[in-house]
Amino acid sequence: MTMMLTKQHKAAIKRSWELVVPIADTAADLFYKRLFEIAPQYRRYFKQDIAPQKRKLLAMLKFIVKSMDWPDEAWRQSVAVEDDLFMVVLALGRRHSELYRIPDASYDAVGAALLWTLDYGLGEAFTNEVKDAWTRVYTLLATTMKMGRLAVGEGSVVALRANDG
Amino acid sequence: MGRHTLVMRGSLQEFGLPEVLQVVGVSRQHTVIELRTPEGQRRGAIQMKAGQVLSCEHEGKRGSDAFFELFEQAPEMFHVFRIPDASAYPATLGPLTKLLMAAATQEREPKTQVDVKPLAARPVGSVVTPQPSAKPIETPRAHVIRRAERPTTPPPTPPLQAKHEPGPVIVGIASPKGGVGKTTITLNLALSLADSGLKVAVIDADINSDILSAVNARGKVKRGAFDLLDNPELVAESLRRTAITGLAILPACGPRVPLKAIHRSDLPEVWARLVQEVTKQADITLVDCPAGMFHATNAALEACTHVVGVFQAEILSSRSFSMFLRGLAAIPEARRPALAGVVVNMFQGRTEGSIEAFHRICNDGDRHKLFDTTIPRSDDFSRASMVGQPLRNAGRTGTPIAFLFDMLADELCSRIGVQHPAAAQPSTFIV
Repeated sequence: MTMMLTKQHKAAIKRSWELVVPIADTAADLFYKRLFEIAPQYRRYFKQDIAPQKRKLLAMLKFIVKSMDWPDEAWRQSVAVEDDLFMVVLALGRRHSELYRIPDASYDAVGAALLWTLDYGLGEAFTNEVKDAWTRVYTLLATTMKMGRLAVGEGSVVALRANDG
Repeated sequence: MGRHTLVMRGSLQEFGLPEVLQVVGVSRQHTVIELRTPEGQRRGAIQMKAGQVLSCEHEGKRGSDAFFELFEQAPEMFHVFRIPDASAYPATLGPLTKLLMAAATQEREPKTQVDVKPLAARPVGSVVTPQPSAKPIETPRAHVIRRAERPTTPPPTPPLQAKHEPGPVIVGIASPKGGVGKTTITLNLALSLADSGLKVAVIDADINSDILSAVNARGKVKRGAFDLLDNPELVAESLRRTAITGLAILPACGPRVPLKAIHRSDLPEVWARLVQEVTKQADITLVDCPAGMFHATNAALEACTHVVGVFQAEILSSRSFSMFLRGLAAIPEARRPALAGVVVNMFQGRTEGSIEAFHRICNDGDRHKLFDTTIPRSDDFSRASMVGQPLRNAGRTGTPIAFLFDMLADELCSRIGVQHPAAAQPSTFIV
C-alpha cells in the first residue's frame, strides 16, 4: 500500500471525518473497545481511566484531518513546527518508543482497530475510496511514528499545540 | 543556506530511501535529507518542502539524474535537517510523487519495457509497497469486500502442464474483463509467430468480430467460426489467408450474426470439433476468446491446450483479474488448458493507477506465471488501427513495440515447447 496522498485521498479523508465528528466520542469508545478486543495484550499500556486517552486520540485525528486541508499549491508558505504533521507525529512516535516502550507490532493492531471503527461508524459511507485514503494516511502516520525512535534534537520535542485538543 | 537543525538520523537498512522521502515529504518545513556513508562521508542530498523536491545532488551531479542515481547507489545512512524557509524558491525538480514513480519504473531508460518486471523484487518497490501488516485488517463489512474483490482463499493455480500432450498446440487468449487488448495481443502475437516460420491460425471466438474490426475487414468475409460451429468440415475453405505468409484467420462470423449459434457457443463440444479442424491447417492455433471467463470463453478454453491471460495494467482491471484463475479453476481438470502465462498490457509508466496495478500483479506473479515481456500503452496501436493493420505489420520502419511481440512469442514458444523453425537453422555466425 502506497503512502502517497492525492487530492482525492485528502478530500475523502475530510469528507468522511465530517461524518465522524458528530459521533466522535462514540467512535473513540468503539476504537479502544475494538483495539483491546483484537489485541488485549496492549491494554496494559493504558491507564485504567481511558477518557484522557480518548481526548488525545480525537485531538490527534482532528489535527491530521486539518493538515489535509492545506492545498498543495501553497507549498511555499511557512508553517510553525507545532503545526507540521511530520514534526508532530515524529515526536509523538519518539515518545511512544522511548517513554511508553510501545512495540512496532502494535501499529498493525491500532490500524486495524481504526479502520474497523471507521467502517462501523460510517457504514455505507465507508467506501473503498474512503478505506483506501484512511489506509494510506494511517500507513504514513505509523511509518512516521516508527521513525520517531530516530528523532533527535528538535525532531524529538515538538508537541501538538494544547488548544488543538 | 540557513542554519541546519538536525531532526532525525538513521540507517537506510532499517527504513528504505522511498519510505524516508515519503515521510519527510509530508513536512511543510524546508528539509534537507543528507545521505552519508557509515563513516559519515556526505555523498548526496535532497532538499524538499511540502512534497516538492527543490533540488538534488549526488557525487557532483545535480537534478533529477542525481535523484535517480541515489536510488541505485544510496549510501547507508541518512540525516534529516530542517533549515529556515527561503525568501523565494526557484524552479523545483517537481512533486516527490512523480519523481518516485519515475525512479520506481526507471522511465528515463529506454529499456524499461523489457526490464520492468523485476521491479517488485527491487528495494525501490517499497515506494508503493511498504511492509504488509502481519494480519489482514478486518473491518465489520470486510466479508462483503472480500466476496466482491478477492477470494478468502486464493483460487487454485491451474497446473502449467495440465493436459497438454504431444499434438496440436492451441492457445486461448483470455481475460475476465473486456477492453484489455486480447485481440491486439492475439493478432500481433500471431504475426510474430508466423514471422518465425510457424504456420499459425487465429480463431475469433468473440461474436463481436473484433479481429475483423482490427484489420478493417468487416463485411469482407462470408462466414466464420460461429457459422461453422455445426459445420466444422467447412473450416479449410473458410480460413482466410493474410498478407503474412503462414498466417490464416477464421473470423467470428460472416455478415449476418448467426443467433442460434451464439447459444450453442456455450457448449465445449462444438468448439472442440471446430478447433480440431483448424489445427489440421496450422502448427499453432490461437483462439481469441470473448471477455469474461465463463460461458463461451469457458467452452472455447476446453478446446485449448494452453491459455494466455491478458492483464490490463489499470486498477479496475486488476480488481477483476482474480476471476481469471477462478474461471480456469471452474474447468474440469482433465479438460483444463495449461496456464502458459499472463501478459501485462497497456502499461503506463507515468500513471499512478497503472503502476499500482502492475505492482499488484507482480506481487502475485508466480501464481500467474507472468511473462517477462510487458506491452505498454502506445499511440502506435491506434495508428495501426487507422491503417487497418496489426501493429506488428503496420510499421516496418520500426516501432519498438513490434519487437516486444517477437519477445512475447519467443517466451510463449519456450514455455509451451514449440520450437521455431528459425531456431533449427545452423547456428554458425561467421561463415
